Amino acid sequence: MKETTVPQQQQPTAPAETRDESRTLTPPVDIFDVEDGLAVIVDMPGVGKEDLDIRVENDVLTLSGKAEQALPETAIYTEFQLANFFRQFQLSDRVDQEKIRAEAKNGVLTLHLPKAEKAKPKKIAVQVK
Amino acid sequence: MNRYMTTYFANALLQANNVSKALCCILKQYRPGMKYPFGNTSVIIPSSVSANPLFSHRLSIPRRMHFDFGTGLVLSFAKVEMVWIGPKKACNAVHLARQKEELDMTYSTWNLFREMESLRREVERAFEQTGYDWRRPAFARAAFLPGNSARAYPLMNLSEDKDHLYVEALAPGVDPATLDISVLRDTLTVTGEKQAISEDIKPEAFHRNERGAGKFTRAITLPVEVDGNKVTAQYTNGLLLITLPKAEAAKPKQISVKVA
Repeated sequence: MKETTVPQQQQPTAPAETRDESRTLTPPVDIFDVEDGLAVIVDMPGVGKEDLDIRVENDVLTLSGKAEQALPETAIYTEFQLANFFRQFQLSDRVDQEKIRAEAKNGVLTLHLPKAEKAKPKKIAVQVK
Repeated sequence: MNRYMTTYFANALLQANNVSKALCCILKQYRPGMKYPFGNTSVIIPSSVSANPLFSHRLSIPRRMHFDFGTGLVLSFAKVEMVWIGPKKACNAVHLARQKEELDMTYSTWNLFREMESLRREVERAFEQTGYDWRRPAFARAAFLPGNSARAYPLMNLSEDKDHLYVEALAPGVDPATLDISVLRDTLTVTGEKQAISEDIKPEAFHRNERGAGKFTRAITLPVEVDGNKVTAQYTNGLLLITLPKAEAAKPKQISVKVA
């Protein structure tokens, strides 16, 4: 049987890359209220302090981290493959964006978002005449 | 006798090595023996003399896909037509096959179950790379990161080099004091507790709760025996890396041959 090849069409040259093709993972988070604000706990395994990137721009909190995995010599059995983490949250103006604190330990990032001054309940003293 | 016998079976493109190639092929009709371009490589549909040389088979994949909810696989049903070609043409076909060195398929039983098994493995490998556990039903698939899924926790990668086995476990947020790693011959057991959020926080205070927490234990069987006395473990950034040196008995020994 003679081998025939279906002719391949010429691909047009690709336009300039405007997208990042890399795959990102969405890390799971826990968000809950604490006395003076919100606490956000994010699981980011494999991300060290230097590889974490936390920023707030235009009311959007962006968490991203580059994961480092110990490269296997010869992989026998693979259950997970880490990729870069990325997650964004929309913040309201009830959060004081200047005073966000973060700490990272054992692959878990804990953020503390304090309440803004105007969102705190103000006690009004009643004067009895 | 019937000139055409048709059999239906589930098939992926026989030489495609990823899911997207398999899916592309489902939509067209591919003839065995022909070479088709895919992206920047090309794939040859294997043509072979069928198990019985008196018949030749022609493979066509109609535009029909079936999504199996049980396994989460996309199956395509292909039609194989076996056409009686007669003894004279059969000899010719075998002769041609010999010339083109396709003889490994000749006279050997074409095993349907082997084909399906290799299909299953291909698709499984493709899905594994995306971190997507197709084995679980669709409604129960959770994000692969450690969290609330009911799978084995922590996820582990196993790799080796000449003298050591390496186990990498995905376990962020575990209190290192509670980690208990033990090795017995060829079984590795990892036990620990992932720190839960403190009890003071009431459930009503939660906006989102995607992470899981609690005690876990997992035992895996290693492919070789390891030396339990020399196992080391390191916990950085939520990844637990356990280095297990292989037992002396398990290392390959070079045997030199003396020529008398």
